Amino acid sequence: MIDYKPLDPALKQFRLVTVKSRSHSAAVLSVPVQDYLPVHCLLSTFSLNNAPQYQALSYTWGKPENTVSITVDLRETEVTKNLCQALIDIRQETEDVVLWADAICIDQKNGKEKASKFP
Amino acid sequence: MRDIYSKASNTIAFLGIGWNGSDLAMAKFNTIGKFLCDNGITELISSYIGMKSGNSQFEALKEDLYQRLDVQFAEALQDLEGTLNFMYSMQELLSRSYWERIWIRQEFVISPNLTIKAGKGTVTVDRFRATFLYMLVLKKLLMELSMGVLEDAKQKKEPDPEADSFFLRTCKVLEDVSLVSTMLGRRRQIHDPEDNSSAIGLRLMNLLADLAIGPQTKASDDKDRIYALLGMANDGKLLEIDPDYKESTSCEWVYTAAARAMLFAGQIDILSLSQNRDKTCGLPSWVPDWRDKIIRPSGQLSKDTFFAASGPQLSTSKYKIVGSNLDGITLKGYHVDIIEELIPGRTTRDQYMKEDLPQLGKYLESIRSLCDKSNAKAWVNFFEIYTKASDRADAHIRIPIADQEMNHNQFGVGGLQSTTALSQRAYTSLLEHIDGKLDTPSHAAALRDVACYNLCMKDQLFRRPFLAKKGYVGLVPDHAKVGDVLAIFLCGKFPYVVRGDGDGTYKFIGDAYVHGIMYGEFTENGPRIEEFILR
Repeated sequence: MIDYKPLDPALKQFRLVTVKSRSHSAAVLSVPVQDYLPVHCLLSTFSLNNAPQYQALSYTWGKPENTVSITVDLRETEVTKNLCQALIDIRQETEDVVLWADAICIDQKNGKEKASKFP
Repeated sequence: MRDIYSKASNTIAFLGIGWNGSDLAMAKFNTIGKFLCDNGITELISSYIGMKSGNSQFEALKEDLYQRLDVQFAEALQDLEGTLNFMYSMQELLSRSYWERIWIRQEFVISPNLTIKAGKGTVTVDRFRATFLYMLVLKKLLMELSMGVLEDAKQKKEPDPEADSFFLRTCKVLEDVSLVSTMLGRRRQIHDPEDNSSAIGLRLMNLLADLAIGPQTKASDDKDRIYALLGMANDGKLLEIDPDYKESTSCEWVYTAAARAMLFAGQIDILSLSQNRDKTCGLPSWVPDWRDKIIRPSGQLSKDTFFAASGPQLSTSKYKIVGSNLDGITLKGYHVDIIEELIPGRTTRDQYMKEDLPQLGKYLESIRSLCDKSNAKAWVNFFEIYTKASDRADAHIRIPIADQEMNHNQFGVGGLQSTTALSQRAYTSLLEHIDGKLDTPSHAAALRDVACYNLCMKDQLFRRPFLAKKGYVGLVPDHAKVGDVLAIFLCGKFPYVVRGDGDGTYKFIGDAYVHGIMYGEFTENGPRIEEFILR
């Protein structure tokens, strides 16, 4: 489970996920670099006017019961298979990718955050 | 959410996993798309597709385009199966479940930079669009050529099953691409400052219409069927619709408030999408139910139609709405006529097979008989409802197709036009065809006329012909009843059918084609304006 810290609407805060490179994931697990390594991510909070360059992901969740596990901030978390597939296909060989993906960047358990489709 | 997508350096539209075929297809999209973009051919194709055929300007553009695509076409024609497979690969990508989710429309449209991704394959949206448009032209080329081959075979009386099957498969491939073409079009309207066609197309009403008439979409919350489009609509602020996800606010309330806001903004033809029939869906009869499939109005979508029933002063006339209460709305307009007789309509899609011809013959005959009765009324009453004599003479020809004709060369490309001599000819040929007189190869041209006419008749399914008291004839939704009122509302492009409830209020029934009043004729002499309270 991801440990979400509340966002400040006044600062137009939102979260971005950094998808670590394949070589990073390989190094963590001490295995050779390959396509289907587990996905490692970091989550950080920014204000919209002050955010680093990022790409936004437009995708469909797929079946909600069809999940796999990825690592966000060193914690295991479940995401739908389709999202995991997208992260695997977007992930680069040596460079990290900064991404906005709703299922990770919005606290799905926080009704208010979800409903406001913030920011 | 809107801000997040519009501020992203790039948005990745992830269509799903890749496989061998999709990787190859994406590579090819990149090659062809790059060629088309680099050589400025994309816009040429785009105007070619949007243009009406049959004039010199169109022919000149076509020649120029075909010349520039000479090498590509030659390659494509060398390997017909390969070309068809190339088009199937696009179709496969367009049938992914990605496209069904309602929010992707906004994400796809408002993101300034977009790449399409399937597996590892990536293509920029510009190249994707170029390739997509190119395929539509390619399809048209293949159809023209294989039609030629088939006609030759027919002339020689040597059937060519291979060409036949190729023709059929070409017809089927990329058959329904309305969703992706709409979204690509919207992108240009928003991001290309030179595209001025945008204002109307980007109204919430038109975004909703595209959504409701296109393939079914999935929304986890039915309120999103409106809210997910607000970010794209250019009149969202004007309509003052703010997302409200509170549980105490019902979806029905949201739909009613939105419909009312659009009507107040003068977008009367939102009514053409209110097709609740006699269902109890918790909505007032004049509010479209966006959860349901909506059929194309008789006169097409209001942004595309050439009808103008309430006359040319459309957008300026004020006070078309006087007020509204809880579930009602009061519109100003004209009482046109009262339906006196209805005959059965045509309701299934595949009715143009040989065995259905006798039934089609009866249908056309029954429309002629309504027109005859209308003629008799004019004699008896010494009153001519039509402003042009030709309206009376052609009524039986123009009513089955609601006065909308498709040109031979369109193949679904380009728009419709008011009926011309083509439909006159087609109607005569159709009657001969029904009598079984048109089956030899020498009648190929006539049969092609008939095919165009039939296609336009198909657009009028789920409607039935009526005769009204004063003698108006036309088409109304198939749940209309005798006694229903035909009305024109101020600012409305279409006439509408409403049903008196006995207490001075009306139930809304649907849009109508009323022959002889579609171009503002009824309002020319300033008839009395009345108020209609719809509930």
